[in-house]
Amino acid sequence: MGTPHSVILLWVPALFIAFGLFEILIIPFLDDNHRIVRRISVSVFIFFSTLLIMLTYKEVLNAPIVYRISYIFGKGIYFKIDLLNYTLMVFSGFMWFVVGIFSFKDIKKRERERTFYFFYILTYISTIGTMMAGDLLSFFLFFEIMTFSSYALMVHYRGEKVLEAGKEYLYMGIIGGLFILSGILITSAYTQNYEWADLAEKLATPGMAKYLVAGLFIAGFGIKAGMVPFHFWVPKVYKEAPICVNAVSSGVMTKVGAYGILRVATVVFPIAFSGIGASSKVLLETTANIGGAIIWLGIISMLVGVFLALIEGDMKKMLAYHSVSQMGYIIMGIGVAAYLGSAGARGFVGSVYHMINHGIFKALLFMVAGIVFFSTEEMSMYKLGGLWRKKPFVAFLALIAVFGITGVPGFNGFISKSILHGAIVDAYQYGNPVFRYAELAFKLASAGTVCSFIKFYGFIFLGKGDIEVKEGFRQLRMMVPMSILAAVTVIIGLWPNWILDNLLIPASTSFYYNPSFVQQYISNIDFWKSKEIVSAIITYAAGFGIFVLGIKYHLFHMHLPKWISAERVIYHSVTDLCEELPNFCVKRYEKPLVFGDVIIYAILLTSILAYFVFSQLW
Amino acid sequence: MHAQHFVIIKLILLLGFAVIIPTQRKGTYGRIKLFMVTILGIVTTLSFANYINVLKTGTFYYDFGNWQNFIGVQFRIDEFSSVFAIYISVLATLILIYSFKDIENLVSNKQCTNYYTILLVMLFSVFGLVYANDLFNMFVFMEILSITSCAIVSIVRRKKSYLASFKYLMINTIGSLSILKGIAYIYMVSGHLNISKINESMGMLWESNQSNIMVAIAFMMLGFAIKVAAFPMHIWLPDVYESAPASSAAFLSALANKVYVVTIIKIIYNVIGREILYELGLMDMVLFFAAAGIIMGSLFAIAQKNIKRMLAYSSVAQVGYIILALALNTPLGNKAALFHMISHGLLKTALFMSVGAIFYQCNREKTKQLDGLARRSPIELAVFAIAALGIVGIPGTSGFIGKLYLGIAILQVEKPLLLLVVIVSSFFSAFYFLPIIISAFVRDEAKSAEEKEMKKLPKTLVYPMVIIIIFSLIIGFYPQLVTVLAERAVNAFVLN
Repeated sequence: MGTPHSVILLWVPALFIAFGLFEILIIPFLDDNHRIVRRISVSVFIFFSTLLIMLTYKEVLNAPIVYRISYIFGKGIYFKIDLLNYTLMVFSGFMWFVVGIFSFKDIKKRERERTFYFFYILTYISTIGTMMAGDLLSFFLFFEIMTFSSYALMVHYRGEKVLEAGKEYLYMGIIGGLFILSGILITSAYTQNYEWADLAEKLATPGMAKYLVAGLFIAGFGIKAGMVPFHFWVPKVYKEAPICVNAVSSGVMTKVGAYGILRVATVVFPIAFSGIGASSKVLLETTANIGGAIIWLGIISMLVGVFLALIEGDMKKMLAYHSVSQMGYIIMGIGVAAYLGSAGARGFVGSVYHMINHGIFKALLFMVAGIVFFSTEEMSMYKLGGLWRKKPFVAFLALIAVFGITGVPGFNGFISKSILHGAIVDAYQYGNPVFRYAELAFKLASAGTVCSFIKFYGFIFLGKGDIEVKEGFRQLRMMVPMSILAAVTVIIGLWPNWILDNLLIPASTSFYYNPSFVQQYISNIDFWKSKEIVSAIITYAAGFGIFVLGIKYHLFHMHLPKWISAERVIYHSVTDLCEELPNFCVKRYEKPLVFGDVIIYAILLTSILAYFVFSQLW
Repeated sequence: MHAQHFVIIKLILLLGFAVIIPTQRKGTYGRIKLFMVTILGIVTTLSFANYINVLKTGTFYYDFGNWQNFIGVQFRIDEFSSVFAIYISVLATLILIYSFKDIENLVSNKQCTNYYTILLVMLFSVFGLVYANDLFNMFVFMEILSITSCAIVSIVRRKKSYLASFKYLMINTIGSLSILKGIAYIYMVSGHLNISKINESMGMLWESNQSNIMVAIAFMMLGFAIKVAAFPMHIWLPDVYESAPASSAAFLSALANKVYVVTIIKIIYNVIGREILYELGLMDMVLFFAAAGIIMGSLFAIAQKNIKRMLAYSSVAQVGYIILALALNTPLGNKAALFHMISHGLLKTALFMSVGAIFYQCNREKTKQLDGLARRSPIELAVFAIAALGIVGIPGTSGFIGKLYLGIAILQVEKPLLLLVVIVSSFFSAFYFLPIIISAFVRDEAKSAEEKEMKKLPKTLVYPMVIIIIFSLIIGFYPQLVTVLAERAVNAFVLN
């Protein structure tokens, strides 16, 4: 390997950002007469940047690539690519590329196409940036850029309703950012270093402060990940956003939140397992506590997401609730990864694998919903039906995606769900027996997912429907990215070990997980012979049972009482306070303050003097 | 020419041209503008030259007419004042260039010349305050500053601005008198007006005449609270910023307000001394009022309908940050205060400039009137958006670094409640800035508005604000450009 090659490899982060900025600068100059050039440049940029990242595989396998940029933010920031973020970066590049092809057809309004691609690329760069970031400050920088630029994507279709939903997304993003900022501040107040490792040190301190820090980070990332009780922005925004934005947001951007939680949860491992002194025991104990809490948060997200999806009739909203639920699986896996310490490998591998798989099939599902909407102008699945006759190929792709998400053997969802199921079994075998209930909840959520997608597929594609399909809707170009995604769903499902052996297992061992454990439970796993197939069948039976019950007793049309809505309790209480309180203050205090200026002066002066007098007396 | 005269040449230039401008004949307005820019260019150059000189020779004192310092007028030229003088002269030049078109748009040419006369006197007093080393002259410069700033507020002949400037004058007079009374109490026991002399004898005085100094501190504190518009003495600020032309508001918030903060720092370190202030136990009270100011300022800002008035309340909150950082009384706190002062100066100036430019183009100044404006005037709104995000504290802007330093300084003295205040107020500031940005960039314009013609935006309005926002972004990414200077300056200052 020659010198130029290795130079390029070591400079990957800088090159990536430089090319990205260049691409961002080009886009505004390509006006609508050059739409084709613009589209090609977008695709080519994403393709080659992903290729650039992929080229580093051998280096990353040896040791993480570290690239420093000194002096920024005072002490300089650095990027670090290890196997975990390598995997996620390649995955995001893939998703952005595929969704990019889909977006050519999806983003129709010509005059704003330029803005769309500008922010599309900006969001891509910042997402990759959050994954590459080696320290807290650069992570936060890209995280906030991602929030703002993805906001611009979400509100691409302007209009009052869209803006209202977008506002919710933006405010939740800012609240999340402030949570993370406070976490960063508390972490680094004494050291003034902004490294992830400082967080580990902070977590070793006695007292409750460490749980506060961990809680702040988890809440901040949880908002981005759509974790319950911060899930309410997901359905609201996804309903109004363009399909391709749903796909990248649900596919990749929520994963950034999960990635952040994973970093927080596993940050202590390098220190704890190097085994220096007594602190490693404290560290592992802390992580176990945090991990246990994360497991339950994940379980709650799973159940709430599935439940809300079941009673939802709108396609996009239902898929959004499933995003919440699937993020619950991932978060639960992360919880196990932290909870069990060195034995948590199944949680780690399962959650990362599920991030990838969920991204793929959920993007495909959103695209299916998009095509259905484009050709029928109808979002409510109760009004659709029988579409398989008119759109057989879409129905076929949708079936693959549905098999993926419900975990049918042979499709990718089955693989990661089996590993995750194994993880939760580990949690009660090696940890606290109380997680047996968590496993039950896991099975219930899976059955609910099955039921929900029987409903989805049944109401849209099967049955008798007489809905008009628009003539002249050309979907051919949209079929390309969808077919790619469907193919990947099947390929991963049939040959799961390729990703496991090359990426996830080395990543898990570099995260200090016990290699023999990994060997036993993950490397040698044969998905076709495991008990999981039986349990998949049972899950399907249970899902079908719920479906029949639901149809019979009209449970799917249930409406929840308003007071139970998390949006109302959390978001509206905050925004109402922010709107009402200032008006109240201005009405009540602005005038008196203005008229009472001299009196205020006199009162303050007397009180200061009085304070002095009394402090002298004592 | 000896290098130590640079400072004096600056002041003479400013004052001299202030006298020359009114003697010019009619119709020479264009020439006056050229003059002004030249003078401020020279002043800026001199400020830089002076800084280099100070770096070479160290702190020095300048006695006017070589009178002995216990009765004479004395300037103290050290790194702190030199750095700050550079900040002032650069910003003043930029705002001046901006102000040409802005003021012409609002008042007649005849009045414009008056405006610039007053402006030069005001800059004279600002520089004087930065360098002054005796309490009496400090007071004199302060008086000049408050009267001239009152005049640049009332330059537009409207009832509203007269009322506002009258209120400003009255309240500021109370403040000045309060400070004067404080100075008098100190003079009463020390027999000196020279700051260095007072500082030498302060330890002794504190033993013998505690009550005098306490009363002096009480009066001075409230006086300066009025001057920097700290909560709850901020009442004049919203009216003034609302009715003043944008360039006047920029001058006030970037220069006048900040120079008072510099004076406060001088009083804390050089006149009274940190130990005594600490002993008094007043800091908790100051922290409380600063925190109250941060929260209340932000809350008031949310409810405003006029953008400039909203910016004024946001200034109240930001001044609260600076005072909070100063009152922490730690090196990190000082660093945070100085950084935040400069960053807020830049950001607020950029905000006022962009709002002024929007007003110039289409006569809109209400928060609800900006729907879809970004498509027609993208530059101002881009500047507005970046500066607003800076105030909110989004990484990449200087406001983020200011907040980071402040947060760390707060946590070092173990007052987590104050951190909560800062975080909550960040959210509030997002809550009042973002709706404006969103409606400007994302909403569609109202039909009736589209037909109105918009004036073309002159280049002299655009360049200054773009330059300022670029400065702010640069120090957002490379904060050490400011912090290194600030730390050196403070060291020089504290160690004498």
